[in-house]
Amino acid sequence: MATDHLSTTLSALADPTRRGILARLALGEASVTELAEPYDMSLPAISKHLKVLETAGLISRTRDAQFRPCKLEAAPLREIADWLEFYRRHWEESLDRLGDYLKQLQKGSTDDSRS
Amino acid sequence: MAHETMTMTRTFHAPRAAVWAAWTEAEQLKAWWGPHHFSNAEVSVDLRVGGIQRIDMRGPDGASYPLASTYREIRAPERLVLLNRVMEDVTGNALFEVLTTVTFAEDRGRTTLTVVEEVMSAHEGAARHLAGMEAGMDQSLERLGAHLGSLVLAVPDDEPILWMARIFDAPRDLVWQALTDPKHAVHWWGQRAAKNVVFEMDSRPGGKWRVHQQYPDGQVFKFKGEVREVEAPHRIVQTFGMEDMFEDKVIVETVTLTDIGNGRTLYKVVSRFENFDDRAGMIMSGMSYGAQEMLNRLDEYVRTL
Repeated sequence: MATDHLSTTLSALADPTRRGILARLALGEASVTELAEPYDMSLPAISKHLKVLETAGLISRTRDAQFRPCKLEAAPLREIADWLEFYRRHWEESLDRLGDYLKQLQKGSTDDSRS
Repeated sequence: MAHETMTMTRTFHAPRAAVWAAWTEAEQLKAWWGPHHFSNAEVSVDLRVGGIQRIDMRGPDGASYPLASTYREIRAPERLVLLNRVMEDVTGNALFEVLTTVTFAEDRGRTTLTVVEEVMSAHEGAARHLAGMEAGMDQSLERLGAHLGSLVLAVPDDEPILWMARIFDAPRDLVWQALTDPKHAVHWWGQRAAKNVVFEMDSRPGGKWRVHQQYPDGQVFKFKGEVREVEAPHRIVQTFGMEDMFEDKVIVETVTLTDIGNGRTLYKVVSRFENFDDRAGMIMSGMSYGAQEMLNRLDEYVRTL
């Protein structure tokens, strides 16, 4: 995966309004008007947020339909979740193993216990 | 001082029922409650609304810190509210009162605990104890992690970091060796399923480390970093990165080892997402930014892709 892609996704997600929009779209497609409803913001302001999300590949908009409903494209999100999840799991499991290894060392049952 | 509020969120690698039991069973509370070096002479639990939980905590010098708590709300296994009377004397007067709300949320075998402590009243002389309240709960939760056989994970809202803490039943020098000597580290570093086919580690300031992990399907992940600061045997700062993936995304890890007595060592790693900036942390703790249910559903949806 390209790094630039990751940065774009991360900055798109940095804004609470945009995260709110994504959460709404997880429930199904919605029009700009519907998406704007919970916010005290003008339609152009919401459209600006949608543009950022679209550029990041997090949402897509139907070209031909009259109201151009927005749709969630969650694959980039999964990539990030995977990376952080990976890092977290890496250390969780390593530290479990370290705990076991330290027990072995103290029992002197490992070849590496000298040193 | 009154109505001061403190919130602490920690994730444990343990099922919710186990974490709930640790908070509500006397024998378990006795094992983990209180700061490092403290112990509990006696704990009793009467788990019903209006019932009393008593903990007779003892400091390292033997001083007694009695705590009497009334259960205000019990919603197993997700919510517990207690009114704590700290340092209650024989006449029933407490030095200060704290309302503690504990919520337990489970996600894929992990449990996230949120503890909110609200100071309801405080007498003269309580300030010293109140000042130590946050550190006390922090250390209690580290001990809870050890009790559950889990590490403790925290993703603060206000900094682009995450940290993990774990207590090892081994003296600090030994933990330090296992961490920094490649001959030892090769035996525990990384996922169990993978084999460390390349393992190089130079734990001196400016030294580099490099690990290639091969999975049974042949896939190789390449990890690398450099050591920035070393203060043997208690602190090391190093970077963590991956080759061919997220190439310029480097995590700076600060590992500290603390001797907490009885031959045990507290390991803590603070991972700072400098180049990710604060956003990585925000995504991970997205649940705490409101719209919790919607984000849960988003999360579920993402998983189905």
